[in-house]
Amino acid sequence: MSSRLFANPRLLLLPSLLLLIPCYLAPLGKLFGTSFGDEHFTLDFYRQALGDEGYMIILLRSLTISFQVTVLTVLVGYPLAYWIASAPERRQNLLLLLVAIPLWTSTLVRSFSWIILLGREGVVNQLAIAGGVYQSPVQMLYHRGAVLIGFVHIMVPYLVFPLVSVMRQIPKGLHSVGMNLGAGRANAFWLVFFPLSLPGVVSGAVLVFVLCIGFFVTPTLLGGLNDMTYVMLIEQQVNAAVNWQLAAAMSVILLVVTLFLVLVFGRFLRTSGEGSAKEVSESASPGRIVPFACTVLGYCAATWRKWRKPGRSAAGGASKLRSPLVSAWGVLTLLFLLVPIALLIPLSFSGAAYLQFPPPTWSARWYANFFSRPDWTNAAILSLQVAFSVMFLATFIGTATAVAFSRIGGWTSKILYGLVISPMFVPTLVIAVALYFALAPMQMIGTKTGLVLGHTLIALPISVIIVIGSLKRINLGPERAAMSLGAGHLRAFMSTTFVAIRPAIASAALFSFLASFDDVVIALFIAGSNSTLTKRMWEGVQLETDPTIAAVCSMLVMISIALVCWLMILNRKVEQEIAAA
Amino acid sequence: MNKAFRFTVIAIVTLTWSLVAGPASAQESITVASYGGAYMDMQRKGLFEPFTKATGIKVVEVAGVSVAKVKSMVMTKNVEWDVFISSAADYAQLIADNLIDDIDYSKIDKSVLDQLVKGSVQPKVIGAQRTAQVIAWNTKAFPGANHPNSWADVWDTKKFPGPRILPAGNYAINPIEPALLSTGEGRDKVYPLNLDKAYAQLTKIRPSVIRWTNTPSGVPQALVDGEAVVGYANSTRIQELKDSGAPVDYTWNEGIIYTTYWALPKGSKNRAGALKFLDFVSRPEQQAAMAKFNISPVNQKAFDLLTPAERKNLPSAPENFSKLLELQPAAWMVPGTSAKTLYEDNIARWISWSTRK
Repeated sequence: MSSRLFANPRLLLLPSLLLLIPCYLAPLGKLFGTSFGDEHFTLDFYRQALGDEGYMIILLRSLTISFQVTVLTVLVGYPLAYWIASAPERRQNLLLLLVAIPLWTSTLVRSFSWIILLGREGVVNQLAIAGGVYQSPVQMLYHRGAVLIGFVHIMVPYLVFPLVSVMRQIPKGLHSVGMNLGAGRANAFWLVFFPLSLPGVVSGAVLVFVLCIGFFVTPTLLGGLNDMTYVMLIEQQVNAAVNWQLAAAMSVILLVVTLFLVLVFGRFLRTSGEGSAKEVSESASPGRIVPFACTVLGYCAATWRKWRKPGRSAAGGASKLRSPLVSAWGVLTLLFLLVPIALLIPLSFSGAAYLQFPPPTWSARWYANFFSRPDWTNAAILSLQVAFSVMFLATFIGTATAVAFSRIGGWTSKILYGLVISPMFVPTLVIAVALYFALAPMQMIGTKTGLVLGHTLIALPISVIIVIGSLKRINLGPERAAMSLGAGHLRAFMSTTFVAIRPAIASAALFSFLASFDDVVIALFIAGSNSTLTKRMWEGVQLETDPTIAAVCSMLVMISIALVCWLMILNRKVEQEIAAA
Repeated sequence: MNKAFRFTVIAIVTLTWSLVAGPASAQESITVASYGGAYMDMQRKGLFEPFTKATGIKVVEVAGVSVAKVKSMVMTKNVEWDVFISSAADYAQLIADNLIDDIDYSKIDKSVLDQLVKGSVQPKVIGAQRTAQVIAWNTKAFPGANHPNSWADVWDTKKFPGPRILPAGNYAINPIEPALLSTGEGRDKVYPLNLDKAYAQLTKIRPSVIRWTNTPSGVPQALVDGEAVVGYANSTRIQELKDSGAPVDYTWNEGIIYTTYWALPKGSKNRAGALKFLDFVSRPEQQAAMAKFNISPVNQKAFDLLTPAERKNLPSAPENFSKLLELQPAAWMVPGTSAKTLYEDNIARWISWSTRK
């Protein structure tokens, strides 16, 4: 039976379909139905959502904020990626590890750290006053600026990783050839390197933009009334006004806007470093235009620079690839990514009864408080149970799905691939609302099963993408050889291909674990009266003033660091093994 | 292959553990929902822990209550709470929406019921405590006697400059009464409620309000951090922070006093346990335990168990009470223009007001 599964890879899609049809497509369908009224068909709720000036202002504001964040993220992240990509091999890995730490730290933790930093008596204000920039503290929190900073902090790693992988593929030689032929460092960069890296920028930017639209935690914690976003408004309709039909209609509107953007800009995603998306859409690729457009853009940029600063480019002709300015920017950006998180650790050892920086006295009482309080420990246990289950389910389903996609083609596989990775683009809040409407009548709110299913949905795309990426890189020869020597399909797969993709499966498992462990939004709707650790923290940020949350946050930061290191070691070990073989 | 096998085994073991190791506790429990945060810490010490000790029934705490939550639970038949606390006008809306059950008073000690203040014993709700929301400020911003002393002062951003913090309009303790007091027309002109007038006042203060919070700790935290200089907060919490040395203070003047009630959601699971809980928390000893955190008792006998110093900061102490406005839940239950009640009208109105600049 299992052997036959591998003989017909289509059957390997079964597990993901068994998950997606009842837990994803059906709830979204139900959401769609609810938006047209529960009893009889009506367009009232769309009329209400689209006709209300205030709601439209907020929808536009969400798009504006996402756009601003995207531009800022590119400005901040590009030099960092360039700096990393041009560093010596060994240091590259260390730097990427440093970028990975914030990526692996809960978004809630990161937004919380900005509350402390940007407060009226926070670190930034204190430094600004000490440095003579301001006379008295300035309001930074609950302000558009705080929302943008919090967003950029979260989004930079999402841009840097794909960008570095694209930049690494650009042959270093090209750059120096350009310079040897007499182009200045700047010209060599703008004419050769920049155009070749643009596909990475565009695909990272699209990802950042789409993620921003659906982000709930950051604007809620850092924004004021005038920074309310569309997802926050939807949450209000569900949780404050109990107007489900209107919430459904607004969710559908947001879904349509997001999917429209993904479809329009999604073609740029194909040129990203992931072999997966590229392969699946290869046959229909209109992608020639992208590199061409990039070259033109780069040329314009170079000419513009020349025109602005004539003579300068020629002077720098023989200098190194990396300018000190880029290094300085890279270091500053890394500090921007890491300092806010690191700051939580001293804060968590505060002896004060409320959050205060710097802490007036030191103590471990908030750690003791965490471990002595059943509401905290139960939440942590629930989170671990759910995250482990999700890790198993998402990795298993994800690997099976990835193997299937690597072996089948045709337009059905394209559509199915789009379906499997779509939970990444659909705003999580919309998924949560849809699941809530679907699970509530079945009395599944507050159940572990509901949480596990919801989290598996959001973890699946990540694990599929990671495993497909690895499958693209390996050679199927050994598996075929094993089969020709008489091994069954499953045996051949397990003893050859599986061994080679093991590191990818391990990272898929870790990312699935973290996707579940870090989630706030699904838990807010589905966990009912139970609390996962992040939901408990979310409540804590809103209901409490004690630094227990800081203690939890720093424990999570340390766990993230440990996991990142472990994965690095694992990767290196397997690489060595493969090299040895 | 070996490693793969090991991985699978670990995964299966984890999964099984995850699904088996659940809430398999045999101990009887009730789920109690309350506001969370510092207030729930007080309830844990004053009510929940003594209750478990006395009856053996475990209390599962849930932080965060709202009419909307009860409504969603009852509508979807996912009623996880056995008993919950409800404040201000919320309970009246719960009754109007038929979301709570009658209390079986035969299960509660008659002599204790007789000790409760008038209005505490109602068919569907029983009084829990009396508490007050007051004007509170940061003493670094307003040291000494020159501080906002009325809602008109809070609205006067020239005389008392600095950012304000107020609760959101859809929160249980909303800013409507303060907005109506800010006109300076006095406490007797607040009811009947005029939402048009209230929102006109909110629009005036809006540029100075840094945050409209949806949580009980929002205001105290912002005042302690200096994020806001003046706000509308629970007297109990501000008193506690003041005692711990935080730079905050408050006035009883034009504060709002209201009763909080315990209620039983329709279709809750452990009704018998919940009734035992109601019987327990209404007793003088437990009411007095809560009063030590400066929360007023509804059991008159509890006052006998308190020292004069312990009574001084209670909202219902006569010298404080005389400065307060008593919240009138019935005023929120009059028909609204676009909804069944003014209460629901206000929530819709708040959302629409907050989406506009």
